[in-house]
Amino acid sequence: MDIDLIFKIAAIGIIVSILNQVLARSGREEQATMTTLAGLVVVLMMVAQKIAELFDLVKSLFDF
Amino acid sequence: MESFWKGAGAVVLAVILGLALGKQEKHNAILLTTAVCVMVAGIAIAYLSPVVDLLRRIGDMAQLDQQMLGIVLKTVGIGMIGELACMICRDSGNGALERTLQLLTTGAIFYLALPLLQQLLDLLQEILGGL
Repeated sequence: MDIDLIFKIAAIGIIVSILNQVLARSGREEQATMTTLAGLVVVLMMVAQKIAELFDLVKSLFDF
Repeated sequence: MESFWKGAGAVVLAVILGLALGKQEKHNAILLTTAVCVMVAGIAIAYLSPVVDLLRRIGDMAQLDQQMLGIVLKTVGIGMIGELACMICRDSGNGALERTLQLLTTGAIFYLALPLLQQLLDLLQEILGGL
């Protein structure tokens, strides 16, 4: 059980949220959007890896 | 049983962190929920492993067809993964995706169960033909 992953996702979310606020207030809407998108992609890659591990586990257990 | 407590703790932690992320980072909160769901499902499946072994042993003792037992186990696997994905869709507010996934799961289960239905039909034909 990888508890660190939960903290990593939450930390990325909080950092992206702060960066988004700062960039939006300083009038850089495009950069704020790109930051949000980059954070989303990073977290998505981490989660996709876990999903692939779960699928492999299910496949091996239930004889797929 | 250590992993059970870790899983329960992780769920509570994810709820609190999800609230901390708030509405501004809703997509990250959904990804956090997904990650925790996947991890906890992994723990649940690890707990199910001895149960599946026991089922296989019972199947051997009862001289059941291993192919048929395999179909039942695959159906359980598809049902579990389908239900997990449906719950994540429901949480993120995608009702249409949830319904479509339910349909896909049902279709896959029916497809897997076709040999069982075929055998049942053959048996019925044999019984009725004998009358």
